[in-house]
Amino acid sequence: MIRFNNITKVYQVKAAGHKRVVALDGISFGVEKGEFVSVVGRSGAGKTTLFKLLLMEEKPTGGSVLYKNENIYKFKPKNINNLRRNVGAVFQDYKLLPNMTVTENIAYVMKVIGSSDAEIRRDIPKILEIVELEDRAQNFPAELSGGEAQRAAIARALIHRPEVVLADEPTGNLDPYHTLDILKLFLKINEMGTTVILASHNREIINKLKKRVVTLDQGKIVRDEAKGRFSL
Amino acid sequence: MLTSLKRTIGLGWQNMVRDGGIAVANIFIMMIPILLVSSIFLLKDISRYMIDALQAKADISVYFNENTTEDDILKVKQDITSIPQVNEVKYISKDQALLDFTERHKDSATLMESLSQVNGNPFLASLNIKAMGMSDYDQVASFLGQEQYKAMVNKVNYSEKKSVIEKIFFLTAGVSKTGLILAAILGFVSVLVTFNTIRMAILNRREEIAIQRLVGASHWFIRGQFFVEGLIFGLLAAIFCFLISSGISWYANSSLEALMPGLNLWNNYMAGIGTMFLLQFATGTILGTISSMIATTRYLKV
Repeated sequence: MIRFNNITKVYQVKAAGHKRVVALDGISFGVEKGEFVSVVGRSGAGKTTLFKLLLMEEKPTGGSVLYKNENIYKFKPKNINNLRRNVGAVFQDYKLLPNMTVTENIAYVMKVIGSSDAEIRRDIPKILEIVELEDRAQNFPAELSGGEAQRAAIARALIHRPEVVLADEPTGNLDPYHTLDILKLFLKINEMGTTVILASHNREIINKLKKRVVTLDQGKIVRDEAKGRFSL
Repeated sequence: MLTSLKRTIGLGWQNMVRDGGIAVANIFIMMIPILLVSSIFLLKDISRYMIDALQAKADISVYFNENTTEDDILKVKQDITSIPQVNEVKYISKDQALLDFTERHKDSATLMESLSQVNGNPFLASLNIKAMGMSDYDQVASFLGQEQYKAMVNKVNYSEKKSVIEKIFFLTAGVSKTGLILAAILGFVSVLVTFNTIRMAILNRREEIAIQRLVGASHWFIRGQFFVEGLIFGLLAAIFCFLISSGISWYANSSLEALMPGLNLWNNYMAGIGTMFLLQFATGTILGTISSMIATTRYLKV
């Protein structure tokens, strides 16, 4: 379903006198439909960069990214929008719309995909219940704790039942109870057919999942195991 | 499509209301070009009045010989009136001329004394002629120089007044031109200021635009919200300017009428009120929407 072909991403850091920072160095791997893949590595290994490339937030310096066998960097604008609608992303910095409440942030995605008002009214209370944010439904992102904002971001990523879920450190700010709940949620939606790509540097979570693990180190894949464990 | 439109409008309105401080600032800034346009509209009546008053000072007089009968003078008046470039011809009889002089100088003992010394009425019957433009006076003077009028006409005072008339028309044309140039420059500057203010407001929301793009919103879904915001800013700014211009016209009317008799600013304003509002509405909404559309384009390239 998703294929990274010899992906390289180099950043030119102006502040350091145009120093070259190699975030990804010849990464190649594929993700099948319905698979659950954990991408692990230290901070700065390139996990977030990989997600940015898949969402076309940035362009690769070299290589290509295929989605359903099509090079996404050759997509027309309409297809780019469709790709992003089919991918539910949980960003490391949440990326919640600051002038919208939790409910409105989640509803925004549904409006973008053209859901009816009735569907929005029906589904949002359910997802809020799942992520335990019913009491924070009318709060703005600035009024939420880190964990609450993360759960709101997760709710937004899942509300429209996307084909692919990209989760970048989705439990980083959560307490153990919520962490377990969220992981169970991801596993559940994966069982229902959603492809999940989860990035984390949390050893416990990865080892608990017992799913495929792709290990990155300094921009390269050092390990790719079907039932992997977190080890660097 | 209708649902999408409804949502775009709803989101635009919501964004505007939630960012109240910036909305107020944008509206105030947008009022500047609208007020400029409104003031040009209001001032045109005042400037027209002043220009007309000044140009009314320009005239030439034709004095007729003592032996020219009133019928002949009135025939000449008819001939001159038929010239298309002539605005007005007024006949002043000998008696009327004497009355006018007496009235004008009644407080001057010397002049009254001199007049009493003269036997009879020293004044000649005349025609006072007002033409449309500078070059038209030349035409009228040439017309009066024809052979048929030479026996009747004592004097045409055009050559003495020519330089004054030239100065009057030069001044009024200059004032009009200067006014237009000034209005154009101020208009351009105020449009630039407005555009930059809106651009800065949108710059502050570039992250928000990026997030909307990342969750799959189309260009038009995002742009539409800012279009609606710009439209609302323009509309509100137009309404405030309409109230201000109406207030100023009403309030200043009595003072202006004292200074410029015959000029009723409020009546003129009411006569053109529809045009005024349309002008303000068009300026505000066009400025608001176009500024928003141009400013968002840059940040939609995610």
